[in-house]
Amino acid sequence: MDWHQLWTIASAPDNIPIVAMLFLAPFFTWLGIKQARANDRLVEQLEEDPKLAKTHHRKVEPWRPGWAREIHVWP
Amino acid sequence: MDPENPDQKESKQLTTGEKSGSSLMGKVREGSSALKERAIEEAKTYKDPQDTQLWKSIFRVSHDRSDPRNRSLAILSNVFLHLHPAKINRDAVRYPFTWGMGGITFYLFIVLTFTGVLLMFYYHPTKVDAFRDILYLEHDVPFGKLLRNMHRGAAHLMVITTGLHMFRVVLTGSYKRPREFNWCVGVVLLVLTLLLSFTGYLLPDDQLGFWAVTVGTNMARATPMFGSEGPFGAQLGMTPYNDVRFGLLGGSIVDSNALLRSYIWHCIGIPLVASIFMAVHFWRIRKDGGISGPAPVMLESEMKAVKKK
Repeated sequence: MDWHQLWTIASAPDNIPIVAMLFLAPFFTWLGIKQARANDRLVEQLEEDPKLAKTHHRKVEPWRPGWAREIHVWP
Repeated sequence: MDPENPDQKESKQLTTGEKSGSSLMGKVREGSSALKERAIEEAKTYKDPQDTQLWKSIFRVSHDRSDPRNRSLAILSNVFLHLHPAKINRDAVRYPFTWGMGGITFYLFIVLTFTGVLLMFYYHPTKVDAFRDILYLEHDVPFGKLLRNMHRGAAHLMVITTGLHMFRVVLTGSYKRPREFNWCVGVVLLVLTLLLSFTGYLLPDDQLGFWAVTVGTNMARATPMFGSEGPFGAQLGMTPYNDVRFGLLGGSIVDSNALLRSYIWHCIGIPLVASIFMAVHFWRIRKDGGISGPAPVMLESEMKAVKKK
């Protein structure tokens, strides 16, 4: 296989978005599925333990104590 | 429940008859009369379109001018005075949740506008000058190559980030009530982004752009009713000299008129429409309660408990 030819095709200005999509599409699909599965795991965990469901911060990435929930941006 | 409704009386009689044996038929009749009642109630709602969820998802308040509170709303809901909220929910702007794609898309639009205006200083949309101007930009204008590639790269990236933004919105369910209307605005913005990309493709007047537009506009020939080769096109009097392709190209071939039309749509028409839709899109984000944050998870066991009450 001629790697130089492959590089010539992949680095052509009009093919750069296609090459970028080869990496971006699988990455964001993986990230989306990872976040969805984390959400499902939390639902299962809270279903099994009703006490935890009453007390737990019911989000995948819980807000840590002491962190401001709102940011004052304007004015 | 309408007391004078004969269907209800009938269903009541049948419910009593159910005990005496014909329970299945009674249940079916009862179900059908309940369905009929619901349909009548819904039909009454649709008589006044302002009461429908569709109307409320588009127009959030009534615009009765006699009410002084509505007049003050004109100031309070002004997009230019309130583009940014005073406070935002920190949860809703975390990158793991938003991926930052909407913001990146907007910043790319600003980069494209800025570099596009600078490119217009060096470009003439004529068959004689267009490709020469590109060569001049690439080889003679200081930072011309950088300018052109910034514009081209940002354009390619904007299509990708718009797609990823929509993907995130689908995954987080942010298209649901009360954000249905803003989802539709977003879909229009995606189409406008694709049209901007398509019209910009012809402007260098090179072989790549020429054949891309040739293929793209040939597809327009097959448009139902408006294309000369599309379904019902011939019956409605469409020919290659008066159909939608002719309108897009300003002629029957990809030539100087097509270049000029692409240029005007690319630099004036579509950016103007897209800017209006973007303003509506951002304004609606605020009015629909800000960026949709990560909601606390819903448990099926709790939903059932609510239903029992």
